[in-house]
Amino acid sequence: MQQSVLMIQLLTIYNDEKEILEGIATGQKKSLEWVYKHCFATTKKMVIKLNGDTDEAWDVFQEAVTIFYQKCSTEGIDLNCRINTYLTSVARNLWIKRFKQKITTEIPEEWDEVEDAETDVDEFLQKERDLTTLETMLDKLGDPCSKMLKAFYFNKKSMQEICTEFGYTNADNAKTQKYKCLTRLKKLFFTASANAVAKTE
Amino acid sequence: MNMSNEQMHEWVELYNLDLLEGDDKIAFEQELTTNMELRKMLSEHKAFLRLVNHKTSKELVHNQLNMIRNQKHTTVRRIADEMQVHVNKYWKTASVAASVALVASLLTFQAVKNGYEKQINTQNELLRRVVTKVNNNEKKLNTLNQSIEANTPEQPTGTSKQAGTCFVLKNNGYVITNAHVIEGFEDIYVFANNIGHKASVVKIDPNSDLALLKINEKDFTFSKAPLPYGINYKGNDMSEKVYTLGFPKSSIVYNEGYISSSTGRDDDSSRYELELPSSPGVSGSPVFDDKGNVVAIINSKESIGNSTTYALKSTELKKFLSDIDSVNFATMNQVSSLKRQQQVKAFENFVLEVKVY
Repeated sequence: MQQSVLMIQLLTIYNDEKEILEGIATGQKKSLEWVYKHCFATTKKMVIKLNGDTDEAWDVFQEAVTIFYQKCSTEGIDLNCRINTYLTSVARNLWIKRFKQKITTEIPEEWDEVEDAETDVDEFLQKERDLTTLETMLDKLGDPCSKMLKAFYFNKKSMQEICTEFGYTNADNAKTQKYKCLTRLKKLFFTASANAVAKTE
Repeated sequence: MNMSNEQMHEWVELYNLDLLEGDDKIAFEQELTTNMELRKMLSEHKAFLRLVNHKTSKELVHNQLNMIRNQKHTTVRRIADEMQVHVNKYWKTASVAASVALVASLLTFQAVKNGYEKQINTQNELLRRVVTKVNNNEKKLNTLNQSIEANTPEQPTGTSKQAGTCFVLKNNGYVITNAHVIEGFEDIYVFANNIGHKASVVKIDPNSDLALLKINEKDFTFSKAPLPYGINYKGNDMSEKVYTLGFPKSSIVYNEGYISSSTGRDDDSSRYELELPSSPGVSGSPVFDDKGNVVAIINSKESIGNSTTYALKSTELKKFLSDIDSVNFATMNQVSSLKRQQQVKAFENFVLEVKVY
């Protein structure tokens, strides 16, 4: 969707949400609580208006907050609109992209569209697709490779823990094994994504 | 450099974790410039870690949010379950008792819920108070230092909630800004030479998005010099070159452009469309023509792109001021023959930052 919906932005500096932004960037529960309390209602209203239900709104909201968190924690905190405006705009883009066939009512033209929302959502959805490919390939690897890589990268276990858990005699052995597994995984994954790109082109 | 793929991989992992230091890091980055294999390995590993990070951050947020949501819902569900039990067991004989239980449960639920919400609120408040306290002390110290030098008014405390720009309409304390900058706030401060002056609203009109403020201090003047700019109420033409001063940060910033249309968005005749870069904080900035007359007041921009900016025409300002008889806002342009740099220099003391607390 090209961004045809434009919005006028008032040129005031907003400082009162800075604390929340900082909290989000460091993943603090208090800030997430604030976001739930102040922002979920708007997303819910929007999704329901566009033929969704509360559960679907919750899914979309969780993803929107994820995008928000990833943005804050990697790009730093620089948001020139209200948190709620950003989240709703992201949620709306997500909902439209994921469930276009479900939306039967006309999408209202007048809507607060935030500049980065669509790119952020596209990037997120691309990562989601890539992650699915990666996880499929992980399963293809079979055990113990798959289990070991998951333990190290997803569950952040130390090499020492992995050593005992998988019964390696020393950390060096485990390391070599991990390297071999990861090389296999990368080969599978990057071939698959190269094929996917070739197919779409 | 001769090393096995496994060693290379270990290097890449360490580099990504930022664990390579000093000479090792330099050596690695040096190697990167020539070793294609290593470069490919690094970029692939980065892509891989990005997905790993995507998955873990997603799970973190989902888990936390679900927990937060469930906390709020368990109280509701537990009480609902209890009610169910009551109703099933005794509904024939004790419908009265059941309804009493229902009322009681609802009351309990309300109480628990209120308690919970209050808890969150106090936590937030506490946090805020601590922050304010620190700021207060800092401010107090600053104020103390300043008041030794001069008789400074009381300074605002805490961090500002919103900020924008205003400009002087009359030397004895009147400034004009956008209504949206200050609407809903009572602690309004105008900053001149880093000193905040508390101001109150004389007139506010959200429709035209204008607000007239007056500094509360007695015998106040912004400057001994007369107001340097005039106000051109006649209306200006498309393509006319304009410039502005505003506060996208805490120091004043200059920008220039031209009037690209004599109407704003959706043919709104109360505004000009300007081709002029703007960023948050410049709401309320005066727009000057070549001669140094105020022709408009910036209030908004298109959310996409950086330079389509909308400004309220000076005619709107005239309308807005027309029912304030007690004050004469007439001003004489003092700078029309000066070069732009000199004009801007003269204006600096009259275009100010406004913050609300």
